[in-house]
Amino acid sequence: MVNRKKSRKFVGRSVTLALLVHAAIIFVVGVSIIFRQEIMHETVDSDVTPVNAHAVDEAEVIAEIERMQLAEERERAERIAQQEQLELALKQQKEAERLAREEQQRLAAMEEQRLEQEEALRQMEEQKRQAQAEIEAAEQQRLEEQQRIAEAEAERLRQAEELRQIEEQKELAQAEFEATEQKRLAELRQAEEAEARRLLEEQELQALEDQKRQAQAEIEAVQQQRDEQQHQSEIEKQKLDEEIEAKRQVALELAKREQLEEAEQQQELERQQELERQRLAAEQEQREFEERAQQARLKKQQEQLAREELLRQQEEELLRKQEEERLQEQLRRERLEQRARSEFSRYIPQIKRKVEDAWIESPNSEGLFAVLEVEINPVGEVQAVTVFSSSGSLAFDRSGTIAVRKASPLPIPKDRELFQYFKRFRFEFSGAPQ
Amino acid sequence: MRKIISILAVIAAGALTSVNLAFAVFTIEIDEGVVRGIPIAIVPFGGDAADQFLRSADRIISDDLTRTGRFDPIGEDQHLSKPTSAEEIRFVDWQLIKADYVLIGRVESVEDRVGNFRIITRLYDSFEQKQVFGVQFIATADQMRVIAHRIANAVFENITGQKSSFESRIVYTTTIPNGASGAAEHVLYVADYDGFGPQVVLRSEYPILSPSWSPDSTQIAYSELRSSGARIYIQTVATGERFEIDTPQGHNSAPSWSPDGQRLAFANLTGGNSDVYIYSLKDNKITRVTNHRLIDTEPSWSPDGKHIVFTSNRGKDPQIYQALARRDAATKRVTLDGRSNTAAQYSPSGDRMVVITDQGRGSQVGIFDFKSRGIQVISSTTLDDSAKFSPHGDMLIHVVEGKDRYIKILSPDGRVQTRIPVADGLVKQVDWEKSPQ
Repeated sequence: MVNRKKSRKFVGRSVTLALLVHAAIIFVVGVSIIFRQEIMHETVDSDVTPVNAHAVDEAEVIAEIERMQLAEERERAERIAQQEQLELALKQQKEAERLAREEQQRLAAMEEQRLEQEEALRQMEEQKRQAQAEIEAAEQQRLEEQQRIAEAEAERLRQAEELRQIEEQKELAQAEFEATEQKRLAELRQAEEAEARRLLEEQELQALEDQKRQAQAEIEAVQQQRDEQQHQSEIEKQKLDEEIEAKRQVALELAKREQLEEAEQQQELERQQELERQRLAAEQEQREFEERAQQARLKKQQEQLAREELLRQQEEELLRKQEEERLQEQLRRERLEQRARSEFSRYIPQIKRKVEDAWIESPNSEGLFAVLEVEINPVGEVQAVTVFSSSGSLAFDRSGTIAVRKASPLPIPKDRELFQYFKRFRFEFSGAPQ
Repeated sequence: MRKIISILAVIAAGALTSVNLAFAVFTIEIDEGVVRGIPIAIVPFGGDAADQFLRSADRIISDDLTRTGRFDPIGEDQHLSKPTSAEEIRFVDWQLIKADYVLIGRVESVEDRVGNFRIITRLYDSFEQKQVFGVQFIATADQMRVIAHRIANAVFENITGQKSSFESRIVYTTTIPNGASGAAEHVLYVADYDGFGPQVVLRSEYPILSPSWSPDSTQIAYSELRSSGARIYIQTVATGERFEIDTPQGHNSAPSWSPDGQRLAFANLTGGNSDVYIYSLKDNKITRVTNHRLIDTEPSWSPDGKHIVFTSNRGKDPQIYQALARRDAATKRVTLDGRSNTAAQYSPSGDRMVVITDQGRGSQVGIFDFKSRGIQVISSTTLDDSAKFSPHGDMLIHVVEGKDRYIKILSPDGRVQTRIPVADGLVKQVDWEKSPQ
């Protein structure tokens, strides 16, 4: 679409140029256009005019002489015209040849460009393949990396470094690709410019054609003049026919060339379309590749971020939990101690009663004082009794020890949580006065 | 990481703080035990010679321990096993029947010494599951009771921490209404504290009054009531030799040895007035301690030898008074409670006295406490007389008068009262050895 627009623009420009050239030619030739056109029309319309036979008489001879004189004049004029026309045709041919040569060169240059582009595409393809291979290698690495993910952070950093390098390479490839693409686009632009030039040339050709037509018209104008001045003769007509034929030949040649050019144009268009398609496909592939690479990179980044986030969250969670646990532990302990205090007031009298009931007090133990330490198990069974502070009387100490032993199991709270407050305590045995 | 460490440090500090905040080890005061005997299982002794020797050892030991009121032996019928050696002990058996202690023993013949036996005995604390002691004796068959008492003594000492009086002797007087001569006969007996093994120290046609052991246990002082009056004699137990001390005119009775064994306090009754005197064995001098128109009698020395307590009716009712052990000492009334308090004797520790008290129910054995100045009646009988402490204060002995006169042993708290056998006749008075051999 763009190209078409461009070509239209080119056509416009070409037309302007052509007009300028045209004006110049008109200036050079200096013949009335309007006149020529009328003749041209007539000539073209009355393709073949039959020549009528006339009776010969004196007048006829005189007429014949006048006619001969006229013919001589006409011949001279014709020769001049022919000379002029030949010169013009020669000039035209030369110009056409030059144009054809240039076109040939241009086409060759374009072919060369095309080959270069193909080479560039191939290289690009190769790079792409390499990049693809690298991506696959990176993918492989990433998979392996995933396996090693729990391993050392150093490993992770190293891999990140590798990945970065790969990405750098990829970016390099991308840059190269872009450079190539730019080059290719530049080439395309060049091709377009060449095309524009070609169109201009065509325009010029058209202008030349127009000139030719003008010259034709002038010739015909001369003929017309002559016709107006005198009757047309068969020879004239024949010559005119020949002229017409020649012109037709030129027109045909021009048409053929136009056709050729058109075909060439078509070919060029197709080639460009093909190039465009290839370019688009390449772009698509490149895009896809980039997308994949980007996705892989993004995925990797996301994974890394996720890992870091997870670690951070875990750390935070740990700290929060520890703090929470500490607070809860403190609270629990306080509650427990509170509970233990109230349980003490309930259970101490019971323990006291049970031990006192078991204690056979020595009758002469007044003033004796022993401290025994007891360890119990969670069901209150006495595990150990030790004399923490002796009364000095072995018997008195033993009476207490036995009392504690016999009082086993001691009444303690059923609540196992409170056990820690009850698992070890002391008895103070005081010998009573008799 | 550093943050974590610091937080951990804070947590650790918190933990330490909370440990510091935690309760100190709580303490329960135990100040009121029960007054009862310690449950002890005395397992009949085993061994090849058990039947020949110490057949009733377990019974002797059991009785000894029971009389003190400190032990409550568990009957054999309740024993779950009958171990005779350390290997056979199963503590749970004794814990189940709530025996604090288990005593076991074996008696074996000694092969190279005919008539000799080896006695091995062990005491166990069944709750601590430990042996308390293990002893071994070599003895002949006639030493059976001595060995049994010795084992009982070992048990008592080890468990109570105090000495027992199981190996001590008593002296008592009896009257046999129809003696060998047809007339009434008066006998002075020495026997084991439990009444076993009585031996005649003196047979007399005169009534024998208030026998008193010398502190060294070699002599007995007593009063013989003759027609001319009561005379005081000191007789050596081992030889039977005796001598009369020089006493004033009138009736001299109730001799009491000073703790150092150098003096005798006694009562002299002349013309209806009785006073307390001291006789010195060193120089035969007599010191008059009290001089009162009413009766002062039954003197008894304090353990430190400084004071003498005596019975006096100078305050209308007979009560116990105290005086310094010197001439014309000032006296002060000691007992205040009850209708009457007589025949006082200091306890071995000197902080108490045993008296015969009348609290309205008759004559009973009472314990006077110098600190509380109160009297606690400990006997259940009401015709009591002649109450004495055992040498270690672990028991008391007294005579129960009446038609059927007998000797009774009391635990100091009176919970246990056991009658002991008397050799012959009607028992009149009794005294307990002061320092067992």
